[in-house]
Amino acid sequence: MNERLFTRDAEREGILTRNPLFASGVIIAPAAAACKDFFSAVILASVFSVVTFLTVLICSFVSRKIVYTVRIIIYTLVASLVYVPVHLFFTSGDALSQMYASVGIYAPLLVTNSMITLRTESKFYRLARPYMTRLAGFYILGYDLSLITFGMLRGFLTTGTVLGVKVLPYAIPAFSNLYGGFILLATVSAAFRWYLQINAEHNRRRLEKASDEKSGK
Amino acid sequence: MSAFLEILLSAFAAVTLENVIFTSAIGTSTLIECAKSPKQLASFGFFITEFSVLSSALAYYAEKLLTTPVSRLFLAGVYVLCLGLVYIVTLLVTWFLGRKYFRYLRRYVHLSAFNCAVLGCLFNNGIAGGSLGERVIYGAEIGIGFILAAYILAINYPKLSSDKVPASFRGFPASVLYIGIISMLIYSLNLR
Repeated sequence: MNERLFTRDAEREGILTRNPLFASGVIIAPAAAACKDFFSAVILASVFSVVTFLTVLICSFVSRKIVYTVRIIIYTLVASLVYVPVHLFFTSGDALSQMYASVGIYAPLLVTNSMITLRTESKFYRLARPYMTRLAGFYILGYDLSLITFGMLRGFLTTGTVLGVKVLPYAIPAFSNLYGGFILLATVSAAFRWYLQINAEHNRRRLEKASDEKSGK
Repeated sequence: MSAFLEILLSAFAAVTLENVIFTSAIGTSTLIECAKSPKQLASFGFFITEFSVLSSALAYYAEKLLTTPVSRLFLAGVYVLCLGLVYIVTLLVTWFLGRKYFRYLRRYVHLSAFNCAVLGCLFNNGIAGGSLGERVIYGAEIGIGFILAAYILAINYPKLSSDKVPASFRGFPASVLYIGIISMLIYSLNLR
């Protein structure tokens, strides 16, 4: 029972209430600059997931007795080493390497993402390892889902197509520019937060109603 | 005098029209974090500049050691080591300058070292393959550009996170929208 509740808490926190991209506003650069369509979003999300999850997991074994100055260097160094096989994988095929090249330096820059440099110390490593692993997984999933949603929406607005199929007669190419990415990210993030607020309000009312009914009985 | 003015103007153009935040988004999350505490802006910006300049110089020599394609795969790791070395030296220097100053700085100096702006500077330098001088100048441009961008955001951050802004836009979305509008302005200036 506790196990299920823990998973639900971690899921809610990582994907919704503390969603790294839309709610907390971290790791913005890859989304605003390089995430221009579904494919670039998938590439970025894959690199991010593998590098971050493995780094968080491996570095959880680093002793807390080591001073923070050295620990942070170890974390980013481990991330840069985990990135090597990921880079080799994405440069192995022609089509894949072409898509991978389109995200430019934003893929290797993910080795210093704040999930590794900040959240490990402020959150993850203060928790028991099994729960930490689950929570980190859901945070990563939350970022991936928001990045892919954002990429699809941006591609759709920029070209009027979804996965290559023309849907809209109009297109707004300005969204492919950096400023378009910033403006769209701000709008989507505000919409996401609005949904969270409505959801929280709905839950509060439901709880109030339930408690009123209980006290009425 | 005209040569001096020319250098001054090109330096100004480098930190405004080619500002790394407004033209490539690198370091945006750090920028927003930095704008929340304007008191730390000067020291934060100083350390970003220091890390960009010194690690660019170090990376220039370290890259010379990576001669084979296999060793180039570890470029990110080498950059991290360069940054780590500058980070340790910086902390040691501040420790010698004064314990109080050191205690105050160590809370956020790691943020200035391990972020996309500084690492992005090293990667961009590596791609451009410039001389030592060019890399150091680019590092300084990144740092000063970051300070400028942080200042532009910090002067309006209280308004962007005030109660007058709708709750869902308050804080992060409003800041990103603001950065987007400035980025659009710089984009249009660059078109001319």
